Amino acid sequence: MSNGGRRVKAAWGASKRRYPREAVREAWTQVVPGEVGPSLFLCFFTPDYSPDEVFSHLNFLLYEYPSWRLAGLSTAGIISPRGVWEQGLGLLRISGEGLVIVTSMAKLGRLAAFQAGKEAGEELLAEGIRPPGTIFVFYDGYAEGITPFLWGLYGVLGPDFTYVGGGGGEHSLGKGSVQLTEGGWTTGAAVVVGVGGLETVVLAGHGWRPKASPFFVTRAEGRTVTGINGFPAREAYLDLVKERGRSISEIGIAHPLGFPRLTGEFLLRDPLRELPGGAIEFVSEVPYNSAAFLMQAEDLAAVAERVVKKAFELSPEPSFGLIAYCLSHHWLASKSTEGMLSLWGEVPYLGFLSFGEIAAKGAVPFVQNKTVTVALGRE
Amino acid sequence: MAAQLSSMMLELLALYEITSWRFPHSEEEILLWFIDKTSRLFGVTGFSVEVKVPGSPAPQVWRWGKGGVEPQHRYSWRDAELELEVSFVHPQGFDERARRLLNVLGCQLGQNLRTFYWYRRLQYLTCHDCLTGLPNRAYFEAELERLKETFAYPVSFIVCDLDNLKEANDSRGHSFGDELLRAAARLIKESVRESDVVARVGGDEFVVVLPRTGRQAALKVARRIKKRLAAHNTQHPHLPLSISVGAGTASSPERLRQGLDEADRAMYRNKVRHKEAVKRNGSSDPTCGYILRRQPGGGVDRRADL
Repeated sequence: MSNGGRRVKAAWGASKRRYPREAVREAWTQVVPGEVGPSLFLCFFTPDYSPDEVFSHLNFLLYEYPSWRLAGLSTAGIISPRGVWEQGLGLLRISGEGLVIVTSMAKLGRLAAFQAGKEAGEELLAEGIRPPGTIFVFYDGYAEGITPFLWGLYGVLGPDFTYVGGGGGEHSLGKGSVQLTEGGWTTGAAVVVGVGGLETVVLAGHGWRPKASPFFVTRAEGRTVTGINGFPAREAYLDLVKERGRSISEIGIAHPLGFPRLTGEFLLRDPLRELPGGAIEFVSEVPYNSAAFLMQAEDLAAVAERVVKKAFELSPEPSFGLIAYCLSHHWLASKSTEGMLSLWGEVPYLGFLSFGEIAAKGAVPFVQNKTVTVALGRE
Repeated sequence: MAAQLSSMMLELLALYEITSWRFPHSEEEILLWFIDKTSRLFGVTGFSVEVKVPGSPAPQVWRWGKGGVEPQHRYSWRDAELELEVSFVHPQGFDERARRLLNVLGCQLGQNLRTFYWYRRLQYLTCHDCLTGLPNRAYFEAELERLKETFAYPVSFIVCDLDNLKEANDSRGHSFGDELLRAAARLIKESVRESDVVARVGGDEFVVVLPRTGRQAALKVARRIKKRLAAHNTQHPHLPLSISVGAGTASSPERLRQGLDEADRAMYRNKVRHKEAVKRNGSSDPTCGYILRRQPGGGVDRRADL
């Protein structure tokens, strides 16, 4: 399950075994043969597995290799060449001589997230991460502050790195996710991995376009919107979508907001749930005093294929791939991921159903919603 | 998708965003607002903002994103109270429309910063004593309210009273009295931790708030103040100080006022003892050794409380 040939080598492994120890062992045996030099292990697992056990078994296996690094996230589902699993554990090993790999973990929060991002960036630089390189960011989708965290991180590292990653969360259970590194695991945090010497092409697409006229988010704080067009957010939003009788979390999946850029592209935000007092909580931070559109879906099933094809055009012989596939996109596209998965050939890849995605190359990283994000790595 | 929205509509929507503003709680909030608007709307990958406030020693500089790259657009804004230089970096450069809107954004940033600095100055003035630079009574009362919500107990107080200030004012003039107050404030501030609050709560009265400090530690701090006082009087005989000091401790939010009253009573005991010692020994009081000797006049004699 590895690509072999090139200097940056990668391999994937996945398991549906019920017990964490067995699942970790099975995935591990698929990824470890053929490793070279420093290695990064990305681990995604569904909430069925105890993070404590996943961590301790991985840590046990990694113990003999002090230069190997681990970063991981619990998510609603994992994506591998075997398909999309809503229960399972996956590992992606990225190895290569000359790669410099540094992991960092920071707690998120509304108040000090920008500073935490700066400190994470400074830690990476202090440990020797230099461009060109790739910065992986995996975070708790239910935690506040990922947007200022990314801005703090970017403020230190700059646009010469590629930023890729996503959030984990369990929409149906209404809970966040677990983040782990070789140092331990926690919740409500962001894991940042800097890989110096690894160049990555990253693309994200969402397939949504605006409908009707723009409106204004007149009051917002972090992920909470309290005013739309000067009225309480919930009532104003329900008037805009012209739908009643269902909860905001059900309606919101099909009616995200789109915030236009001057170029005409949109940054999407998914309504997550209703809060007391008529406010709405969104999946990621909402720009305050901003203009927005209600968005409608195009052919969502085709979006993922389009993104993967385009990414392969830009990077024809990748060493590995990483996918952050929006959980709600997965639901809305009737779970039709077969087409996208068939495009990968022998390239080892792993992905997860995400709760917010990050994709930026030569630009400022933003958390996006509703996207299919594909990263292709090579030396 | 882009074709569905006209260029004019995008420009108007962007204009709404960059000219709509809410009052910030901090400079960081302004910085995050600026990052959001520049990077999301315009695709800016880096900027530097240099703010000069006339009278301040050095300009304040925010650098974010790409450093050391020749900026593609610069904007300057200035009025009597603030000078602003902003430069923006974009991988492909800016078109005319973006430059126009970035100028509006820069202008908005200048006005926002100026308003924020006004607010911050006003906030400082309402909460600080302009003579000593210490927090004033209003700040102290707010600090007491804040302490009720914290887990910083035990909280100790040290009440310090500058003796014979009235006599000093009457005999040597108010500027001398002001000098005494400034010296007392400096001395007390230098005797406590950076994080402790020293407030001037009355004309000649100071209170030190010591969070997470028990009775014994507070008495130690009071002794340290006395020690520094003695050293000061040796080193600065032309500016002699006499300060009465008392300590009190509150073990819980409900007992906060009692802790303060305890410190106040202890301070008065210290003052009375000090005056009696001066009388008994016939020695002169440092502050008014060479000024008119007078009994404190007017008001209720608080010694009766003791």
